[in-house]
Amino acid sequence: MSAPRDIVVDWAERGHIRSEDLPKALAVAGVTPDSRAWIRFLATLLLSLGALLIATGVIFFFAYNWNAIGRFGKFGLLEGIFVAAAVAAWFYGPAKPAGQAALLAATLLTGALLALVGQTYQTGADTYQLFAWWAALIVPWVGVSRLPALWLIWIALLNLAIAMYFRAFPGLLGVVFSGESLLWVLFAVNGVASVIWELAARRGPQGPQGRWSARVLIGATGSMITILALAAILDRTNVEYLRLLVYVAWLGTMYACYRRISIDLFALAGSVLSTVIVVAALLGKLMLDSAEASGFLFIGLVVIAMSATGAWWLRRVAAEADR
Amino acid sequence: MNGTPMRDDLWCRLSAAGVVQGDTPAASITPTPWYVRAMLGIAGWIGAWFLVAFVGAGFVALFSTGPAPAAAGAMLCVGAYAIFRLAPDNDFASQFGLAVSLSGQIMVAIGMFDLLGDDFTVAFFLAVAVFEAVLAAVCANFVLRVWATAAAAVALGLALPDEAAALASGVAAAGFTAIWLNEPSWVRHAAIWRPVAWGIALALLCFDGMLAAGLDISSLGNDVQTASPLLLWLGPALVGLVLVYAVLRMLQANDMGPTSRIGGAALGAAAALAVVTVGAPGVVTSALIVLTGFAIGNRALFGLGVLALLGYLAHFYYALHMTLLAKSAVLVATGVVLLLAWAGMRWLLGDAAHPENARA
Repeated sequence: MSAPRDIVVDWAERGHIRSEDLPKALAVAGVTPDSRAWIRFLATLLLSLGALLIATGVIFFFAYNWNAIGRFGKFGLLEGIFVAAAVAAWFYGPAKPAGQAALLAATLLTGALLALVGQTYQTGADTYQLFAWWAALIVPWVGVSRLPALWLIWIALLNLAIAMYFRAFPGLLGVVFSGESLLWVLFAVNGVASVIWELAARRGPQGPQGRWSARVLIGATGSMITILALAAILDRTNVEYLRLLVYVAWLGTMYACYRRISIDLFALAGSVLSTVIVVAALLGKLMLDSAEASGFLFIGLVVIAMSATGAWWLRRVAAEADR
Repeated sequence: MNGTPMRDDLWCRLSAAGVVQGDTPAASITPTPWYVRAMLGIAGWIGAWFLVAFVGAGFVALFSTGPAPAAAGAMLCVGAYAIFRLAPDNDFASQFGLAVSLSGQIMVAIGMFDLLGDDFTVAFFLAVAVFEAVLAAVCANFVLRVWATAAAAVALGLALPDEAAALASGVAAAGFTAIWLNEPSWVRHAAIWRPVAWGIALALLCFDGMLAAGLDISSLGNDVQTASPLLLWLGPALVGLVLVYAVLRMLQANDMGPTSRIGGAALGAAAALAVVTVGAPGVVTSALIVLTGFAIGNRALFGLGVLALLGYLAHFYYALHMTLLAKSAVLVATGVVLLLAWAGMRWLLGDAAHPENARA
């Protein structure tokens, strides 16, 4: 669906709006911010960036492991900041930018506190346990905040915990726990997260932040399955078509979800790009041994034709969404 | 009424405000979102490399001397120019022209590299800059113009002598601000200026990315410390000045002068940010892109700035020029300054500064 900005600018480009009236037109269309929107934006920016920088600064500080401060001093300092963030979150509430920024800080400081425990008492815990506990402990806060950014941090922690687990136990089940297995697991986890995210988004009102957070998940899942499809084509002597079937199933799911059930051009454009890359790799694998020069030309032309067809189709879908 | 409900509603509001007259104009082609253009650009590059591989495998002799690939590449670019002229609205022709032009540019670059000293010389970068600038000016294709503008600007930055290399991001920031904050003056010629504006934005991020990575942008691979310390500071200082100027323009757009309480505070905050982060390439640049994107209501530009800011902050963890303790001090101090700025804003604006009713 075209954004109001695109429509107004398109009218200005075609001369329906005088150039000097463009700023006024954008303001009337609600595209450019008024003073209230500026205040809200600056408050959110200053608070969230301030909380992020302070929390990461505290994490850096404890990662440095400064010996000039004793064990009790370190715990006192960190727990003091942690409690201050928690109190601020409680005081302002999760609906206000100040409360949300405090929740962000408390979420990050939870990890710092866990790391300090491990660093001080040498618990022998693996790194994956740190991230897993971190993710588990912040669930109530993330749930209360209902903030997409915090949910994405939670999913990132889950991904890290899984990745670290695979690093800690690379040979437990032999070849099953290879790097590719990790990608399959992460693809499944992020795919499930995407489904839950979309179902939750359908039940609630669409916030002012639009679909960026859902698209981050879609992009991550799509990147993983594309890499897995490339591995199925390029990593072995023969193409593993069975694994490619999962890729095709993913493409079908994307089409069903973002073309039939609802329309999301970003997801469709990503799917088109992924298809172009995978088909180019498959043709390269099948053709380039026997027909080098002509093979390069053929694949180049196929890539051009597929991407052009994709753009033509995406424009049709966009026009349909506008109606 | 000729449009969709959204277009009709927008037109009615603009009509009521006296900005437009008459009925809703018939819809032109639906605007192409940035991610569709990004898909076309990436696919165009993949196609281009296959075409270059075809030429390399089929006509090996072409790459034996400098003039041959340069001439063949130039012919491909001319061919692509003709395609864009003859079939500007055909998706297939446009994408074919894009891939042909990109493959031609690769061959021209290979040829010029061989002809102009077989090294990354100033003459080579200048030649690339001029060639790409000409392509950006004459080739009627959005994606190609974005790429050619960015390539021309980066090549020009790489051509600068060591002493002036750090100024590249400052000059790019000035160009970025001059174009994006003057959209009404070029909107009737948007076919050229919009892709140029995006190209300058990408070049700006490239310059700061290179500085953050510790590369001297005037000579690939050399350490940035080789340039004069004074000139190294001049680049970030120029970006800071551009940020202050941009904030001034945004204030004026909201009918606030620099001498008003809010105007003075905003300008002071912008100057303070520029001073505090003068040693951290990318932070002020990202802030400039974020603020500009928000001010003109361009979500894609805003998103690009946020991504750049997160990228620079993540890079800060791995940068080796400071200990973790020093980085920690910088981060906490900057965070405290930002929270104080929020408190100052609340104090300055009184009751007006309570936006908490809305979700962030």
